[in-house]
Amino acid sequence: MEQTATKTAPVEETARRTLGEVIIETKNLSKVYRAPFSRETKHALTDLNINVRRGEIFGLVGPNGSGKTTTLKLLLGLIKPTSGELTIFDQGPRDVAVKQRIGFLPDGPYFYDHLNASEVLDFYGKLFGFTEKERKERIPELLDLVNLSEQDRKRVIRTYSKGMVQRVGLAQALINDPEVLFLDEPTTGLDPIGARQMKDSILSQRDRGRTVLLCSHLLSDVQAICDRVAIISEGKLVKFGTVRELVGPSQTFEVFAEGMNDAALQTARESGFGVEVADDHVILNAASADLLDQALKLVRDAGGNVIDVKGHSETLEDVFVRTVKSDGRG
Amino acid sequence: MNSTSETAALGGSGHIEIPARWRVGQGILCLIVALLGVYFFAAGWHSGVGETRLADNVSLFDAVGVLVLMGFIWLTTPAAATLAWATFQESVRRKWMFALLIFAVVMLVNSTFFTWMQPGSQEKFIQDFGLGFIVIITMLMAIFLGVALVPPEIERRTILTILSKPVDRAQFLIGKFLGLCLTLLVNLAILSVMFLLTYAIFRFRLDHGIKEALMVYPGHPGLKFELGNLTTALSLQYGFLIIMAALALMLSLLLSNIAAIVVAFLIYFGGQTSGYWEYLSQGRSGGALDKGLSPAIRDTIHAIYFVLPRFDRFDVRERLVSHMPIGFNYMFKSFSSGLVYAAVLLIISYLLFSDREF
Repeated sequence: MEQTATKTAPVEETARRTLGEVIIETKNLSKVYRAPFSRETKHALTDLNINVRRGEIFGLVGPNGSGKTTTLKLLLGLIKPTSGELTIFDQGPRDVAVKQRIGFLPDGPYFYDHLNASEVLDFYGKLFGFTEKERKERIPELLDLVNLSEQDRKRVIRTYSKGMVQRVGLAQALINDPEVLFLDEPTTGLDPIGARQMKDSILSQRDRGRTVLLCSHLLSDVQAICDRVAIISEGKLVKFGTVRELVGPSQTFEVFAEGMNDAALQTARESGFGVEVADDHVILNAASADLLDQALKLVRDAGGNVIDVKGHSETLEDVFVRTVKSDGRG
Repeated sequence: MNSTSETAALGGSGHIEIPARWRVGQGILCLIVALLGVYFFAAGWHSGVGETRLADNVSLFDAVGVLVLMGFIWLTTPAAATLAWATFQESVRRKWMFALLIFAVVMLVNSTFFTWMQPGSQEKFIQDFGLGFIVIITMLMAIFLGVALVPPEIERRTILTILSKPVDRAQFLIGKFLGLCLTLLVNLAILSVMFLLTYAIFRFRLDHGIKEALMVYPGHPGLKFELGNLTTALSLQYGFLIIMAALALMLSLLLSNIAAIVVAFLIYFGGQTSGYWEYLSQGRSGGALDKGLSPAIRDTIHAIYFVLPRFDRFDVRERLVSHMPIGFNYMFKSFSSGLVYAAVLLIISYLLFSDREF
C-alpha cells in the first residue's frame, strides 16, 4: 500500500485532503458468502481498511469479481459484513439517518418502468419526506441538471435508452442533495458526450464540497477525476493512495528539437538516447530526469533549438494491470 | 448534465421525523378503530343473533385484532404510504389483472344466464355462483400479486435504490403489503358492486317489481336484508384476502415463485377445511378415519389445525342461502383473528427479510 509522498501533491490537493475529516471508514472489513445448504464459501472481501474524507472523489477499482460491488453494498447496508467494522458519519450503514445524507446510483439502474422520469423522482422525493412544494421545485431542477428534455420527461421509463435511464439514475441519487454520493459504473451506457457530462457533474459535486465514492472500470476516468484510489484484487486491498502516489512522477521524456546536424545526432545516439528523425525536427528519447538534462545540453551545444519537451508517466491502467498481475491474476 | 447548475439543499442530517400532521391523522384513525373496537366488543358480546360454535361470544383475546389494526396504522409512515401507493399503481396496471377483472365482471353480470343449470333454486345458484366466483378471482389476485410483491423488486434491482433511501426494511414490507391490500380492496369493491347490482336486478325480475322484491314475509326476508347479508359476506371475504396476501408475501420470501404459489393453494385448501381437521383430531369427523388414528397422529393433525388459518370462518355462504343473519360478534371475531394471523405472518416475513442480502 502506498500512502506516502503527500509532499509531492499540489498545494490545493494537500489542503483539501488535510481539511476533510474522515466520514467513511472500514476496519478489517470482511465478507464471506456461503452457499445455502453447503459448506462452500467465497471470500468476497478480506480485511479491507479504507477511509474516505469529506470533499474528495474516491475511486474504487478492481477486476470483475474483485469485491468492489460487495464493498459498495456493505457501505450501503444492503449486505452485512462477516467481520470487521464499518462506519459512515460515525454510524452504522443501515441507520436511516445515514440514508438521509447519501445518494446512490447503482450499476445499470432500474426503476418502475410504468412511470415517467418526473414520477420516478417524485416517488423518491416522497421517500425522503419532501413536501409537494419542495418536490415541485427540486424535480425540474434535477432533470435540467441531467439534461433530460421536457418531452422525454413525459415518456414512461420503459421507452428510455440506457443512457437516459442512467441520467434519471443520477437525478434520483441527487434528489436529497447528498453529502456522499455512491456511484457504481456511472458512465455505463452513456455516449462520449454523456460520459463527459457525467464526469463534469461528479466534479461539480466535489466543487460544492460533496464527497463522491466512485466504482468504475474506466481507469482513465478514475485517473482524471479521482483524488484517491483504492485498487482491490481478489477481495484484498492491494494499492491505496492519491492518484499521484500510485502513478508516480514522469519517468520518460521526449525532447523535440530542430536545427541539429548529423554529427550531433550521431553523438546523441552514442550517448544512449533514442533518436527519431522527422521532416523538420528530431525527437530525443530520455529514459530518466538526469538524461533529460543531458539531452537538453546536447541540443544547445549543437546549436539547435528545443521546440517541446513531453514527460510520460505510467497511467493508472498500467499500475492497475501491473498490480493485479503481480497479485496473481491476469 | 449542467455542472454549473446549483440546487437547493434539501437533505438535512439527523433522524427522519414523521410530520406532526401525519401523526395527528394516525392518532385520529387509531382512536376511531379503538372506539369501533369497543362498540363491536360490546355489541358482539350482547348480540342476540344465535351463532354457531366459536362465535357465540367474543372473548377478550379477540380484541387483540383491534390492537393489531391500530399498530398497522401507527407503523404506516409517509414512506410506507408512498410505497403502498406505488404498489397499487403498479398492480392495477398489470394487463393480466385487468383481463381477470373484466372477465370476472362479465361473468358476474351474466350469472343469471347460468341459472338454467340449477332450475328451481335460481336465487341460491346466483348467490353461490357470485360469491364463489368473487372468492376464486380475488384469491387468485391475492396469491399472484402477493408472491410478486418483493421478488421482482430484487430481480429488477429496484430494491437497491429504494433501500438506499431513508426507508427501513419493516417500512418497505408494510408499504408493499398495504399496497396489495388496497389493490384487493378496490377489486373486491368493483366485483361486489357488480354482483349486488346483478342480484338486485335478478330479484326485481323474479318478484316482478321493486316494491315486491323489498317486501318481507315468511320465506321472503326482503331484498334489503339479503343485500345487507351479502355485503357482510363480501366484507368477510376481505378478511380472508388480507390473510392470503400476508401468506403469499411470506411464502415468496421463503420459497421460489412457483413453490410459493403451490404452497399458498395448499394452505388455502387446508384452511377452508380447517373444521374437518379439528373434528378429525377429536375423532368426530364422521368418517372411517375416526377410529383408526393413533393419538400421535391425532396430535399432529391437531397441530396442523392449530397452525392453519381458519378460512372457513370467512365463508358464510351456508348461512346466506338459509337467510340467517350474520351478527356483529361473528364479524368481529373473524376479522380480529384474521388480523392477528396476518400480523404473525408479517412478523415472520420481516424476520426473513430483515437480514436478506441483495
